[in-house]
Amino acid sequence: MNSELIPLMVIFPLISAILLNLMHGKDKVVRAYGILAMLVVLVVPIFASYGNHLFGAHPVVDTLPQLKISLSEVNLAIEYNFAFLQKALVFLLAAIATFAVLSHISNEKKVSGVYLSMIMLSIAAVSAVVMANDIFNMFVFLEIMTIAQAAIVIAVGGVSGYKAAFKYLVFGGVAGASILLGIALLLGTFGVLNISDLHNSLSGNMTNPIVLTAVGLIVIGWLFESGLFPFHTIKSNMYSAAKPDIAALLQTQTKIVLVALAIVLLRLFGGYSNMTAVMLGLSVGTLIIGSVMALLQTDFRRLLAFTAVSQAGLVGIGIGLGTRLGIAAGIFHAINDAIAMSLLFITVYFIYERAKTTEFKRLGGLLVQAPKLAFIQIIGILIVSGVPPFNAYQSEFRIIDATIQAGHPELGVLVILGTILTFVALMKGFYLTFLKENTTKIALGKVHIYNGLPTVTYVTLIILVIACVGIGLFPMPFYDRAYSVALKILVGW
Amino acid sequence: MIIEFVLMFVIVASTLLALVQKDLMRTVIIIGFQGLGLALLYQRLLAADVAVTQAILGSALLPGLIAVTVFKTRRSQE
Amino acid sequence: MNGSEVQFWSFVTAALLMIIGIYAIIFMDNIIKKIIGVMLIGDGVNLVLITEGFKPGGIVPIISEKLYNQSPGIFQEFADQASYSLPFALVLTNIVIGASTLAVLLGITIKLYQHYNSLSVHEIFKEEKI
Repeated sequence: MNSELIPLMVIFPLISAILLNLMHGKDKVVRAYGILAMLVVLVVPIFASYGNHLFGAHPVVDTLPQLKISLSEVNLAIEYNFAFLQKALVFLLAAIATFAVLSHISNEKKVSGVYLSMIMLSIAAVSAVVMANDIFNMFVFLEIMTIAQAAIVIAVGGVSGYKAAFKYLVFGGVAGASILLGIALLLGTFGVLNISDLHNSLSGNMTNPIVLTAVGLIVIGWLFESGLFPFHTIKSNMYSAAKPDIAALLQTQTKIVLVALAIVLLRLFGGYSNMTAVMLGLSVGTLIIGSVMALLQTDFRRLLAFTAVSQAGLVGIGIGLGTRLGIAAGIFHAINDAIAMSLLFITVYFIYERAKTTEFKRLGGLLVQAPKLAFIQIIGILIVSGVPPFNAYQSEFRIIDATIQAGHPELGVLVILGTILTFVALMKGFYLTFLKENTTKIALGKVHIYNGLPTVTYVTLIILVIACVGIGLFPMPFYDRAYSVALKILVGW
Repeated sequence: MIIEFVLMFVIVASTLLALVQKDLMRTVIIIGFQGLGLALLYQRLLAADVAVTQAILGSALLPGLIAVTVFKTRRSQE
Repeated sequence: MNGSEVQFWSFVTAALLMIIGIYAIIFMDNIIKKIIGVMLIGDGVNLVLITEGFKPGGIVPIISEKLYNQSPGIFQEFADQASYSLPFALVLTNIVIGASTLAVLLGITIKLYQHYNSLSVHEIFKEEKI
């Protein structure tokens, strides 16, 4: 049962982060090690076998009567679970991170070891959050993720990056404290930190006021970490302050953490219908507010940032429904949307690299200069808007289906409305960038400046489009696995 | 038993006092007392290992970091 | 004044620290005081955890190997009296996390000051669009 490769997914990026930090300044070494490390990070989740890994070498001990918990056995070790969902999420994270690392290595004359080390740190943190079956371990890695993400944005973002990272860290500190206070209340009441054990202890204590307080506190933390309604501007500021390739990585991490934390919340407190109602309501708010805000933006990066936030709301709607179909569709949409939004962010990354701006008033008429890019971007817009042959259609359709099955057809209408708003906003961005006549006095350069996509970007875009079409044509292997996860959440782990 | 209550009073009072100062250097020094008070309270609450860490970090290292920031920026609140 | 009263007032102190911290984050204009607010919230949560582990009339949960070897029977007595030490381990982790967050925040503060020549949040986030 003890797979040796499971801890490697967390430990290897952590060691790489330390090594890359030490290598900072030695350009060739950093390049070579960065590529090698990303290869390992990509390969390990493919070859790791499913199972559990126990840190601490205590499999299970017998009942501890003095703890007064109604359990037959208590886990003392820190437990990491690895199954299909974890494999898919960790691999997705590794793939998008590989692009971020490769684009940095191939585009910068001087490679920053610290920057790559922070990317590695965030990979390790998100992998641990996905796999950990221990609520405190999860909290620790969420905090590490917050610091690493802020550091990545600081590294390239200029003054707007500093401001976004400052807000992110202040709110992250408060949200982290909120999660930890919730954990402290649960620990004080039940004396265990393992999520399976907590689930068992909680089942008989649904009306305990302390537990209700803990639920509220942890839900506040979940809302922050996934960038839902009250905190949506903080996340969108981070996305738009970062370089678009990093924004692709950040929004992938946000959606992965959203799913991982929501699964924990549903496993622990699935019995509280009020909690799922709050999750659902705030997710609907995020979807509508995010897509309306996206329409108002005058900068392509900010437009995409708000679109990413509103799509996170769509994932939240699926999970917040609390039904089998809803949870499965939500998890499935998180994977699909992380791929599709990364595709859009990477096309904008290309514009940003060449034009050094993404403001609409300074862009225009790029269709002539970059026809391939325009073609890929229109495909990306169609994918995110949920047009049939692609993957996001499969999951958005299932989310709407789930809302109707759950007896809330009006929510389905809101989802369709949000999707249409997203489509209009993205088409506005496409029109202003590619179709509108370029009226600025500032010459964007010679005609050929957009020709010849860098190979790394081009290959990544093609791979992402193929992934979208592939999942869109054959959704069942993924959806079935998501459905079995949903079943496990509702019926028992 | 009276020691704990004195320590709690010192912690809350020094926190409030630190936040109302106009001179940021004073804020730093008073927040150091708060960290020290917390360390002693941890010791009284039977957490000796945490108390040692908190004594180093809370009363010396973190105020030192804030003091460096204050030196590099401006000392008085505008 | 007995041990459980200490526990109660300790929780009250922790709550006060968190409330003062939230007040500082929301209402204080100076950026360094906001950062101190974040630190205070962390301290409050730490104090909650420590108080949870506290056992009135108990002993510090540290036993030396030498003492144990002298009389193994002492271990039973120790286990009965020692305070609950799992929260203490959590607090140690949280202290380190809080310190690193604080260090990054202070670094950003210096950078922002160099650009805006001010520590006022209103000044720095003036032209912020939603």
